[in-house]
Amino acid sequence: MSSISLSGVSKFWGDTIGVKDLSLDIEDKEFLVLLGPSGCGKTTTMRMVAGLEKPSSGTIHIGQRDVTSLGPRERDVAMVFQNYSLYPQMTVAQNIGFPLRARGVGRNEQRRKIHLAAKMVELSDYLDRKPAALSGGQRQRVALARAIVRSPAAFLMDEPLSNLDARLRISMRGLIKRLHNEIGTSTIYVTHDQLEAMTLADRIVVMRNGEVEQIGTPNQIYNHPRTAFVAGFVGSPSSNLLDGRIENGVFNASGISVAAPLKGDHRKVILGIRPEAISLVNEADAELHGTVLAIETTGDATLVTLSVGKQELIVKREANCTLEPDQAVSMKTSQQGFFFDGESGLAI
Amino acid sequence: MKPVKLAEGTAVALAQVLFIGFFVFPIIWIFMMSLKNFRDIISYPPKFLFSPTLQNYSETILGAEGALRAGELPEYVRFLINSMIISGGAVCLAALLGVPAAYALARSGIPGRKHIAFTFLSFRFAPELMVILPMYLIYTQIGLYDTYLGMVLSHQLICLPLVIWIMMSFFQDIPIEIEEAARVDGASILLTLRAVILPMSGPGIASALIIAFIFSWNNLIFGLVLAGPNTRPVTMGILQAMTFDQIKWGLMAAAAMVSALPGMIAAIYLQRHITRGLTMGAVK
Repeated sequence: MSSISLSGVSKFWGDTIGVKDLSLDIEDKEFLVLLGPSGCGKTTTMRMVAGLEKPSSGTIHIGQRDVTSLGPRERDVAMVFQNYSLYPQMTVAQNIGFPLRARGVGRNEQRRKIHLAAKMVELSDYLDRKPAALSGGQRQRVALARAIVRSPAAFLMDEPLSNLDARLRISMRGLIKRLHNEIGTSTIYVTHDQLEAMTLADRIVVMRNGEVEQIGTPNQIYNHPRTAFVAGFVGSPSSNLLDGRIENGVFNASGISVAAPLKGDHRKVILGIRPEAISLVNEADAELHGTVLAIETTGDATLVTLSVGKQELIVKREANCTLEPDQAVSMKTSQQGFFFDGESGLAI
Repeated sequence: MKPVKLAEGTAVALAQVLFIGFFVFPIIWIFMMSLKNFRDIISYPPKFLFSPTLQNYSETILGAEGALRAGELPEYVRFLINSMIISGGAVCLAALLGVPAAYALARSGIPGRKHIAFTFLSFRFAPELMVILPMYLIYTQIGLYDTYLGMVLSHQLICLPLVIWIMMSFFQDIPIEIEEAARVDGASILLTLRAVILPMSGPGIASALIIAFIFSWNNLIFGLVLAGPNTRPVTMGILQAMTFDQIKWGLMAAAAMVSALPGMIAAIYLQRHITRGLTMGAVK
C-alpha cells in the first residue's frame, strides 16, 4: 500500500493535449475518482500512472519511488479495464493467478491466494470455467480478483462498470466499495458517471480538457462547485446554468430576477441552480415565471423542463406531480444558487 | 415466384456452375486421366466412359516392376519424402522466425516498421526466376546446391513473407488491452507472447502455416534449379513422367493427383479452422 503523487504531469501527442500540468497527491488507502466527460484526460492520467503511457513532462511517484521512467511491470500496480481484458484461453483460476505466475510465486502459494481472491469476489464456484462461459458481471469480478490477488501498491480502475447493465452496476459498485474497505489499498478510479463518483470516492477530481477543474470530497464538489462546469456536470440531473447580469444586487436574465448577494453592477455572471432547489409558489412570492415544456417521470421523481424567459430550466418535483405541458408556473429558489463569473466560469 | 426473382436465381445458379466448372473441370479431367490406360488417354474424341485401372497409381507409388524386384524405394516416393522434408522444414523455420517477427512488427514501436513489413511482402513481388540464377551460382559455390538445408532456406522466400503477413494482421486484431493487462500483471514480453498471445492465435498460426505449406509444396522452380538427384521435390517428380522418348500421361496424372492430395486435405482443414472465434469472451 502506498501513496501516489503526480507532479506537473503533462501528456501531448503533437498539438493534441491529453493532460496539462497535472499535480495530484493520492494518499495511502484513499479512494480517488477521476471524473469528467469523454476526452477530458482522466484515462490518460490513469494510464500514465500504470506505465502504459509515458508522460511528456512531469514526474510520478508511487510511495517513495520515482516510477516515471519505469514500465508497468516494475510499478506494482494492478489495473481493471473497462472491457475486462481477461485471457480467453485461460480458466478463471488461471486468469486470477496470472499475476502470481508472472512473478514466479510458488504453486501452492498461488492456489491459496487464488482461492482467497475468488472467495472475496464470490467466484469460488466458477474457478474452472473459461471467460466465455461467464456473464458480464462475473467477468468483471474475475478482473477484480486478478487485481487483488497479489496485494499491489495501488489499484487502477478504468470505467470498470460501464459495460454492465444498471442493476449489476449497483451491486458491483457495492462490491468495489466493500473490497476497498476490507483491503484499504489506494485506488484511482476513472468514470464519467457522477453517481459512481459520488458514491465511491473519498475525493473526486473533476477534469476537463486535460486540466483539473476541482479536487474535493463528494460533498464539496456537490455543494461548493468551484466552476460552472463542475456545477453543470455533477448532480443528477445537473445544475441549471443561467446566463445573466447583476444589477443592484439582483441577478437578471430575460424573464428571471433572483436576489444576489453580489457587488458590481452590469457584471456578466452565471447562476447555477440545482433542480431540487426550485419550489413552486403562488404568484406573490415568485422569483421566476415559466411555462412547462416537457414532463419526464423517473419513478421516484418527476423532471419538469420549463421555459423561463429565453432559457430552459429543469425542476425536480415529487413523483405524483400534476403539472401539464404549456401550464404557467411561478417559482422560487429555496436554496442560495451558485454564482460564477461570466468570463472565467469561476465561483464568485 | 416472381419472374424477376426466378431469372435472378437462374443467373446466379448458372454463374455458380460456370465458376465451379472452370476450377473443378481440370481436376476431374486429370483424375479421369489417372484412371485410364494409355490407349484411352490418347483416344479422340476423348472417352468419358472407360474401364478404370489403378495401374498408373500402383506404378507411381510402388514403382515399376524392375525397381520393386531390386528392393529400391520407388522414385516417386523419394520425391514425396523430399517434399515432406523441404516443405515441413521450411514451414517450421518460417514459423520460428516469422511468428516473433510478425508480433514485433504488429506491436512494437520500431521506427519504420511499416517499411520493414512491406519489404518482407515485396519478396513475393518479383518472379522467382529473378533470384534463382544468382542463388544457383551462390549455392554451387558454398555447397548448398542439392541439400535439404539449401532447399529449406530457398523456400523461406515463399513461406516467411506469408507467415509474417498473415500473423501480423492476426496479432493486430487481438485487442491491445489484453496485452496491456498482461504487462500490468507483470508479464515479460516473452511470457505475454507465450502464455497469452500464442494460445489465442492458434487458428491464425494454423492457417498461416498451412497456406505456407501449400505454397511451398506446389513450388516447382526452386526444385528445378537448386535441387539435384538427392533432394528433388514431388513437383519435379511429376515432370519425370516426360521421358526422352515419350510422355507417360497416365503416370503424370496419377503423380499429380497424389501430390495434390496434401494441399487439398489442408485446404479442407483450413476452411474449418480459419475462424477467429477464440477471442470471444475476452472483451465485451
